[in-house]
Amino acid sequence: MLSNLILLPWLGILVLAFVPARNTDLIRKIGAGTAALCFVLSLQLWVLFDNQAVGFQFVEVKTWMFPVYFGIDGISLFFVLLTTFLIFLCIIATWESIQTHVKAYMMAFLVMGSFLVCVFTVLDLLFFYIFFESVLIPMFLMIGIWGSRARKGRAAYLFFFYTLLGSLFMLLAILTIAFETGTTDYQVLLTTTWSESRQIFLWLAFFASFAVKVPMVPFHIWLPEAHVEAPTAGSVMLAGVLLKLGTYGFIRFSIPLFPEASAYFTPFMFTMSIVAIVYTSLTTLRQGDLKKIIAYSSVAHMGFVTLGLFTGNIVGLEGAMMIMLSHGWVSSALFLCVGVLYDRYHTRLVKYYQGLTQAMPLFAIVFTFFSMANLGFPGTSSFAGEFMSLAGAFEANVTVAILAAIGTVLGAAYSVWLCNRVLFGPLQTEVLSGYSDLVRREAAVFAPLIFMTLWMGIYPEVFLQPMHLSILYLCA
Amino acid sequence: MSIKWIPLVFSLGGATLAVVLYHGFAPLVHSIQMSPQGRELTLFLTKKWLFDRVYNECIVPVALRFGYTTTYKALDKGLIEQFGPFGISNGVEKLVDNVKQLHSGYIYHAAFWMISALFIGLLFVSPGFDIRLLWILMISILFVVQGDKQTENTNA
Repeated sequence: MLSNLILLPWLGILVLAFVPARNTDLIRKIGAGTAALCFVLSLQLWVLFDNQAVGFQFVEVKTWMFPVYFGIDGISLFFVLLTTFLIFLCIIATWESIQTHVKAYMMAFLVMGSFLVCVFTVLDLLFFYIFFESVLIPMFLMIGIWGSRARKGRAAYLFFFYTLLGSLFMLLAILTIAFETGTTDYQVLLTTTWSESRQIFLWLAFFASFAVKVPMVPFHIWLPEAHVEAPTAGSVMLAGVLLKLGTYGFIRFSIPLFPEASAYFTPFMFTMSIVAIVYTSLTTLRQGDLKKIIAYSSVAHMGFVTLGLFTGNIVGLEGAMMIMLSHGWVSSALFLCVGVLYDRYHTRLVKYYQGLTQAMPLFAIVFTFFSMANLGFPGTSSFAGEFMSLAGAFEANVTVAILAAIGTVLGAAYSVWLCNRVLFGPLQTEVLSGYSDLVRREAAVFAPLIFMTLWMGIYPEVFLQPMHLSILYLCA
Repeated sequence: MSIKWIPLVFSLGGATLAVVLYHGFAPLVHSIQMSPQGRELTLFLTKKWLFDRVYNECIVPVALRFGYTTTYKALDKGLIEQFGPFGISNGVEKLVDNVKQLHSGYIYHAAFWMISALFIGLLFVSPGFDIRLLWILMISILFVVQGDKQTENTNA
């Protein structure tokens, strides 16, 4: 079943290869159809997933050079779902806005989808590294080709080199592991014990890679640059899935493979998380670019994730997982909101927008809803995640929880202020003209995101149940 | 289990009480509010507490200033970028410019680099630091300086 999910996008690409590039409508339909099929397949995984089973499910083995296992557990299940869901939504959302190199665009998206599913399902360290890096290529192309300004080249290189440089340390650590144990099979490595000093060395090497990807302060400056220059769908994928590669790496590899080092570095991670939360929240307050605001707030939210991950208790870890998923819906929706504005007015500067409630009431409702979700409003998915993460932190260290809670106040400040600036006040008719509200296609893109945000906020148990045992195993 | 219900019970109870008092016992509520104690309490509770001035004048400007000058300009666009990729790429450009100047075409420059490389290589190969290596390097530097002076004189 997993191999179908991985190979289906490649089948779509093969079909696309035979379609003439000028036939853009057919290309879009094939891309959307393939993405929809992938999403259905991943839903099937969720339906058939056994919440009571320990370990990996749907395990498949493929032999390239050596046997490589693929499988999912309660942690990776939702990342796969998030990936397929967002890939499909992105293709629908950019149906009109992408007019150049449509065929390459669809291919890049499908390739990225396949690689991302591989990253989340592969149970081998070396192949994890390969897929982890492979995702960079379609994303690099996406920023470089379909980016908005001349600075996009710089942003694409920055994104590429930053993440590649960090990952090199992980490669060295993987090579060390491979030479010392003779295998890179994740399930075998789970039974391997390392001395504390070796664990610390390996943990730091993995940290270098994941911290860039999360991104944690001070490795975060590539993110606002990449977001600002990327097309809307690129930003959605960056914020929705690619950032989670780092936190997924922590929860999948750093914590279970090097538990003593993780415990050793817990105060360090707490400090880094608090710095990230407060620092980027304060920086967000003063940004004038809509995408930069969401990008910086993403770094703050990722701070809550890393905080929850290293609490070492079930509530904190599940909270971190919930924030990751919630951030997948909410920040994606906010980037799509920015995309809606950019498609119409070709600017992302906050100062040009004012009083949109009067001209775009539907958009105003959607934007307000997701801004509230971004600040962690009760009833939305972010609240469930942040509350659990802070509760876990409170259990681990009260001071840390109190300091991190400052971030929620600042989050409320920048989210409400942004809403206030963009939606209310007099319309700037001398700057922007020809206002038009959401069209059906755009509303249809936002509807499932609103549904997911509310569902996860009101009844998170559905999402928590599949991950209970996997998280329990991590904490044991 | 029962403790978990307390917020819900109290929220609903408070809301219900408010509705009942407001619609069912309005004269009673009015008389309580108009009594001397009630008036004092109402005045006390409806006073402007000026919390807004506290955060508008003490907290918000500081946070906004800090968010721009310190975290964004000084750190994000300053320190981190200088030590990050921008700093590295600028540094590499400068380094390349400097290295380019070494290709001067003069034999004594080439000889100097050969001896320096030999010195560094021998440092790695020899088990301990040999003081004679340092002498060789210093003498080679003297040759370069002498060569530079001669070149300057010739050019002049």
